[in-house]
Amino acid sequence: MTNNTLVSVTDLKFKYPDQSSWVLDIKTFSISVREKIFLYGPSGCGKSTLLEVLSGILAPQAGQVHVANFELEKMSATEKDSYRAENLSYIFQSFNLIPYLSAKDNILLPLGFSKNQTKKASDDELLYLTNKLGISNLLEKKPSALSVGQQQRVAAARALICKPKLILADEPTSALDQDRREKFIEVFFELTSKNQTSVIFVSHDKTLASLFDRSVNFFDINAKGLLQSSAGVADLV
Amino acid sequence: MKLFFKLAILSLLNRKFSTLLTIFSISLSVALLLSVEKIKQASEDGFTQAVSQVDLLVGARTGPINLILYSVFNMGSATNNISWESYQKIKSDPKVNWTIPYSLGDGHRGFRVVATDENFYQHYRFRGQEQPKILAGGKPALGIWDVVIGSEVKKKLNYKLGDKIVLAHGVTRTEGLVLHDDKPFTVTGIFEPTGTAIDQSLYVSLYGMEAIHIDWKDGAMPKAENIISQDKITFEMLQPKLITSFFLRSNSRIDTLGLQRMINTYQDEPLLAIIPGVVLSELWRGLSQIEVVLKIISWLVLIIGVVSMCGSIISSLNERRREMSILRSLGASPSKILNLFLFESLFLTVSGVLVGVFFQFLIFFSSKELLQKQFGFYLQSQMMSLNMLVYCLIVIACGLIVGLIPAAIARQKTLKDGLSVKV
Repeated sequence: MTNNTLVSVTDLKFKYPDQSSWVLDIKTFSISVREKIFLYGPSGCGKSTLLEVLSGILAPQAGQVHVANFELEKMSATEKDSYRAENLSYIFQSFNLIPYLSAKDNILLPLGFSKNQTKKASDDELLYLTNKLGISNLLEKKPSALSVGQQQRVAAARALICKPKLILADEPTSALDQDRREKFIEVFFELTSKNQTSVIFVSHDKTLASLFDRSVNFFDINAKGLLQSSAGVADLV
Repeated sequence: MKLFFKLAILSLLNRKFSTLLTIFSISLSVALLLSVEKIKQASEDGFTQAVSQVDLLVGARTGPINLILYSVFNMGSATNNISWESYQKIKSDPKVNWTIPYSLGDGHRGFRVVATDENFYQHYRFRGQEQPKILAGGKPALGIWDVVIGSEVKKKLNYKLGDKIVLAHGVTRTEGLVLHDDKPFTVTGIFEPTGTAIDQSLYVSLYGMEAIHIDWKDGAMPKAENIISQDKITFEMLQPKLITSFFLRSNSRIDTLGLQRMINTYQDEPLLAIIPGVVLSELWRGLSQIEVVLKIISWLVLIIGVVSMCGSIISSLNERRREMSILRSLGASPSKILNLFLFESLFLTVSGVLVGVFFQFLIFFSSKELLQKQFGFYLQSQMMSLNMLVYCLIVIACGLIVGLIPAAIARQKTLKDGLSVKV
């Protein structure tokens, strides 16, 4: 793993306990620091499963998964918990905002669970992010009072606030129309670049691919992927 | 820490309705449980403290239970009497503080007549410190033809002050066959309701009792020519010869035991002295069916309460699974999630218990009057007994244990849900 590599996956094999064939069978896959990857493939092909392996939620049966110098296959559940909290962020198709917290509290939530953040730094970061994302005037509102686009910006700000090394985005823009998607991704990338954050962006919609550093067809990295039409367990989207 | 409470409280507020419903259902169970416990306590107190502040109850030799029953509860009858001489002798013992003599045997339309003296009005107590009070305008029955009636007697027979009433000889249960109708008594006082046998009794003086029997010979009615008319009878003519039993207060606890031994081995006639509190407690335990039934009810209520509480907590925590998944995916550690669940169930049970205790006070405060008037049921035991406190703690402990179940489930599942939270 060179200094510039953030994620490296080698000889990864994964299947769910009740399945006979591999859902993931990846010889090699790597991402460098700051790199923004577009990972596409049809629904149910195992993309989301890969994200869960990278975040340490699912443990592969074989192979090495290294993220930011953490060797996931050697870590305990508790170690993976803190690894996740300190290094990763997610953006989901459903934005998963806490309904009873204001936009501001939602954005600051990850900082409450993370140990190495100072109050001052987080206030500055909040101001900067929300200005950039154009939601600084919405901070006291509850998610239910926000439009879909605004909710997504709040979710993005929440993913960015603790300056993660890697953001895993699972179909985050599928609720937006084409024009807004591109605008959102442009601002989003501006912010991730500033923090040297890498992005894995999973989607079945290839139209966004041109905005990314690299575009990866999931079947090119996953040997058995083509056969996994029944692997919808992890990816019902 | 601040974030933790913010999350916990705002989340509960977000589910105001189900939160309130849960607290309400827990509080109802708690209120029911505490009420049953309180009723149990009150019936025991009401029974075992039917007479208090008395050290000894003395009667002719019989069974202790029988002595208690006819002297305190109006049930059964004495088989023998105590001679006036023995009574005077014991009464004048320096270890004796005061005595209340009882002479039983006559009745009035189903109610018992008790002949006693001024000490009854002065010293008789029940349920600790309570004294039978005569309603305003009345006075104790100290004159020969005075009678003070209990509240039930007044209610049923509708007597008022100044009414003339006639006692029946030898009968307490039904309408008498033989009436002392040549010598009517005048109602001089009416007792306030006490919830004890006093309510169902009439009180005359020992002289009155003597007076209606003055012309009787060997327990038989006088012939017409031997009748002494009422207006000719004076105190000087009346010397009580027998009493049925008497209550005794000694100067000290140590004296009590000495007096008891002295009376029980009394040479001149066979007497029995018992400590009423002890015998009443024994009797209550003898009636343990009641206590067992009440206890079973208490426990059933507790179980039902806890089960329903579990139900509402689990369902309310189930609602939170998605929320927990999100928090988990944002980096909350499993122990934080566990604490959130525990905090919530603790909060729900503690508020439920507090509200339940409050309900229970409310119920008893508002129904105290009614319970006393309608059922002679008195609740003066302390607001919160040790038992009740223990029940509350059991409920809270159950809440915590129950809170652990969804917390454990959440701990297991939230992570899996975390990345692909499905709405």
